[in-house]
Amino acid sequence: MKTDKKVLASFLAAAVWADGEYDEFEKEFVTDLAGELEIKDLDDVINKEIAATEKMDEDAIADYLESAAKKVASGEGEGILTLCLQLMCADAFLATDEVENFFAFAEILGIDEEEASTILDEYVDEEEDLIIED
Amino acid sequence: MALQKTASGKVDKRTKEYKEMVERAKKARAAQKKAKSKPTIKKSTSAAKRRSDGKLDQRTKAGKEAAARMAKARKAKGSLKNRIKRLFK
Repeated sequence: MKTDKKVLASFLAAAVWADGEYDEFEKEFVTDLAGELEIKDLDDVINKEIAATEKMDEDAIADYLESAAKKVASGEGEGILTLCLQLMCADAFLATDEVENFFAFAEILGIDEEEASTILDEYVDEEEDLIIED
Repeated sequence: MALQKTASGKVDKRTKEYKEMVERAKKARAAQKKAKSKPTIKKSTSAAKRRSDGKLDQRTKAGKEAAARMAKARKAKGSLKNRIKRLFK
């Protein structure tokens, strides 16, 4: 992965905000992700990003992510979007607010709605234990 | 929301409910786009809400079991590793 870890962490932190909890399963996912991406301090960087965005309102977070999106390495937007989705679903629940944020992340990352829908549908199909929550 | 099950007993996510939820999210996004030029990132307090409406129990019992199965499957199948390979390398 060529995108800077802070940029990745800013999107992952925003993904955490959709349900307002950075729970044990999301942390476990981040640990697995850190291992695969060989980013040892990913959890620390995400915690810093969560703290940095904690006081921001929804518009300020969107501005923050738009700025971060400019630093995403070419061709890695889809990957970052997919990782955000995985993090949002790590607690086994997918709620409407999370789906709305997923499409907002897609827009910020320059991924069109149809492509984002395909990513979402494929992921939901693959995860048999995922619980759809209204 | 009442969840439908597949023949194997798993939650069927490609049901009317799932499709309706995605459509609702898309409509909400479209309305936001009309109202303002920038995307909206929702900061939810639903976790706290769940505590007050009793849904937290589902998260802590059925949800925890499902999340643990998902994490186990992710490790066993190497799905995260494969996905990262496909997406970033």
